[in-house]
Amino acid sequence: MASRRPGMFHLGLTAVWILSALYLIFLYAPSEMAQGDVYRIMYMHVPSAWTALSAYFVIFLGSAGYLMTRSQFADDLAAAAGEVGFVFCSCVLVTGPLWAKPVWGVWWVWDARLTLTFVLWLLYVSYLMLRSFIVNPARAALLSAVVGIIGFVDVPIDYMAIRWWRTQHPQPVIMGGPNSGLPHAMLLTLLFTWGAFLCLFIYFLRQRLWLAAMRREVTALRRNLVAA
Amino acid sequence: MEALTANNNYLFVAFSLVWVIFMVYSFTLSRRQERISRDLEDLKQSRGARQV
Repeated sequence: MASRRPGMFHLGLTAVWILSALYLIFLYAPSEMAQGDVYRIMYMHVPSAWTALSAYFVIFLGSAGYLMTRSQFADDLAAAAGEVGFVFCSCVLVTGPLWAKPVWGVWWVWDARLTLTFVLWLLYVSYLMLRSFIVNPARAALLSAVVGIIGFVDVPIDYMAIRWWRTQHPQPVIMGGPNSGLPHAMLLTLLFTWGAFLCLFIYFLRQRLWLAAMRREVTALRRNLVAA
Repeated sequence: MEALTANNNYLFVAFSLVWVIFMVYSFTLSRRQERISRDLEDLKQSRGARQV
């Protein structure tokens, strides 16, 4: 039996959270002195990046879980996180250059942070392609679990890149040392928006898990009909 | 000041594209769900017809 489809409550909660986040972004958070209002791209860019990194962590957990227990749910979780994480990682790569151009004067530089984020996006693409190209479900689950775990190496390096190397990308403003930090209103807005993005991520994840359960039910029914 | 407000085009495009990406994904997900629900209903009906 397929699991229950995620309800309207989660969708409503996500919508209210996102609308509240937009209120904070445009009406509560102050302008930045040097950049003006364009810095507000940060409120889409940074939460998308944190969510994309979190999504890969979910792939890692699902992949490790599958390798240890051969649990179908663990494989479904990794597959769902791969698809939804790809969406958020694409948002990072779209908003980054649109923020870089007015602030740095260039759309893109191949510094450590930007390159590693692009590699993360490529990892998402290759993970999804691998899953779709292998016909045998058990083999697809096994190989993508291995790729999911190996690819996870990029996540901590990407996160630490701006701490380890000198980059065009700004140094961390949160947990970045004594001279870093954001004004209270900006920090609150950023964390609140990340909460909204995580809520949206979990909503998409549940929808995608439900789809996977339905697919399995359809496959089982087809098999029964053929066998009967 | 003018240069700062001119940059608002980037802000507008960035926010628009993020929501377009989310909408497109949401749309494709719901299309796939509708298709699989239809398949499931068809299969259940076929099974019912065979049992009768």
